[in-house]
Amino acid sequence: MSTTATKQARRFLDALGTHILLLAIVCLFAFPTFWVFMTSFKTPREYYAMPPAFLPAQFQIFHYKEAFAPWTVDPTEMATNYWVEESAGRVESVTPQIVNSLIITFGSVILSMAVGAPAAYSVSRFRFRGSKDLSFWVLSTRMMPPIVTAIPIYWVMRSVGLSGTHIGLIMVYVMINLPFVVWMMKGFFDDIPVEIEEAARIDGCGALALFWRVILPLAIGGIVATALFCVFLSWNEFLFAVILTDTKSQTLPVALSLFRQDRGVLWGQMSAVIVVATLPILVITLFLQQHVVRGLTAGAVKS
Amino acid sequence: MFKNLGNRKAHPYLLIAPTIAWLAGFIVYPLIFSIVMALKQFKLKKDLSFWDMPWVGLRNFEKAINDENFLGALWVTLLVLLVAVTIEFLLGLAIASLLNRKNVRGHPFFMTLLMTPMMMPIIAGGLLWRMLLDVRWGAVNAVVQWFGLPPIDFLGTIQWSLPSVMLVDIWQWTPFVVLILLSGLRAIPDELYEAATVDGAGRVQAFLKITWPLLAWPVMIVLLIRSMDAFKIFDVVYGLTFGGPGNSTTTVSFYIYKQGFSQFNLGYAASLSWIVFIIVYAISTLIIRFLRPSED
Repeated sequence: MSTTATKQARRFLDALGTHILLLAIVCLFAFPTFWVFMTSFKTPREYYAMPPAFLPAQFQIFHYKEAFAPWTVDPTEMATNYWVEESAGRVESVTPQIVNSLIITFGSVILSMAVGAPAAYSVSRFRFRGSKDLSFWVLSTRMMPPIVTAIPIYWVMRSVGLSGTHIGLIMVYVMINLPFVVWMMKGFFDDIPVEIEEAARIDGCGALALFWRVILPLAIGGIVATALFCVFLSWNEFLFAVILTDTKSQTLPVALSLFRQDRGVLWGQMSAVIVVATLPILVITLFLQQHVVRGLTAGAVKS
Repeated sequence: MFKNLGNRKAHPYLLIAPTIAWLAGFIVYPLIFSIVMALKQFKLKKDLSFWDMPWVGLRNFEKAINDENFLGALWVTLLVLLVAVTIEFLLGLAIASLLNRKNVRGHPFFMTLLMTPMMMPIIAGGLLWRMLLDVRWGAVNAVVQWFGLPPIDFLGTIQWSLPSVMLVDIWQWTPFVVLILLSGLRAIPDELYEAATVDGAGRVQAFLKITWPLLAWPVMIVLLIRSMDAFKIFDVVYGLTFGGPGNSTTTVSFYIYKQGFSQFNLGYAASLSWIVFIIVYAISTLIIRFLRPSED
């Protein structure tokens, strides 16, 4: 009896140890995000201090007002609670950049799904000459460092007058999204039994109607997951955004990058923008973790 | 529409054609065009058209091979690849093994917290760490001083700047390694371990004989992707150090960017990007050849 008791105790301690260790590790990874979230609510006196305040004494939404709707900021509040440096570096709101990011993200996601889903269906259902090589080539393009194509793409976009436009960046993002769309959607199409298609075909369903009316509705879960993963890629992309946009078409990551130069001291405002830039993706991941994981590991895990 | 085409054999090609055309237009064509750029003295100047720029033959490539700053950037990239990717891999394997233990509850909770670094724009990660590593008010230096040590200028000194970039890279991408290795570990059937235990194999033996061989594919993929990503490192450097101090954190991507878009030497930048393309191609081929699991 006593041996089973010690065994149980040992097993419990083992489990406890594993959980404590895991908790410590994930807290370390999550800490910077937690910190930036807290900083966005602090006053400059709290973050420009040594040691900095761990939690804000009061949750101030001042930095959010300043970053997104500066016209709502009360100048007297500014003078009493915030430093002069803070007001010196004040610039326009980043709301236009959010709008740009939304336009470019949705445009590129819809277009990449429209272009990539049929290709995924093709490599999932048909064995044709070179189908393996083609699909492998599509996947391998994700390995390519974007800087390699960035120089010529910049020149071509500039020559045809597409640099600084939404459509130019959308077209580049479709290129970035496509390998993921093809490989994720291929996985989802593979899961749909061929018998369903055969039955539909026997009922006289044409190829286009088959794809549109039978296959796509069955793959709707996969379509949502893939589209959300493309949102993740397009929303966060920075290199092409910084070279292909001008002041009118800037996306949110480009707006963020400005904080390292002229707005370098505005930690509170910067944190507020980081929080808003991160929030959509964080919410998506929270509710659809499995799908995001599937996108990240697309092509990496043999199924 | 498809029905009228009559020939059903054409369908797969028709369906995949737009994707191939798109990728050809935005990857293959730019690659070819960048050779043309590299062979010219391609400068970004007003009123200077494509036809006005003189051909210079291989002079750009010649310059690249003798460019100390470019070789330095290659070295920095290689260091990040070797050090950061190794740490990410070992740490990722350890965390994935912990998460894969039978007695672990609360997966979604752990995974959500673990994945937060990946969810934010990489440039935001760089900026946020710039705040954390600040010499005067950074939270990391608060910890350093709590231990009674003098504050460390992480971003302003040459010996600390590159480790700082690596730290951010490790923070942001270890969770990705965990994801892939964990799904690899989960794919290994439990029966194999049970059989091994019956045969009297210890934990170490079970790891060497079962886990490692079956994990070969995800390991190859993760090393391949992360090694290629080392050549992509740009956002973190842009947000954290902007390549400095000196050139201590200038990676190849960042160096090409600077050549092209702050010095406006597009032709030279194009020749550099071709060299990087060839290196990336060679390394990925090597990794695939060495780590490819034996076909079974």
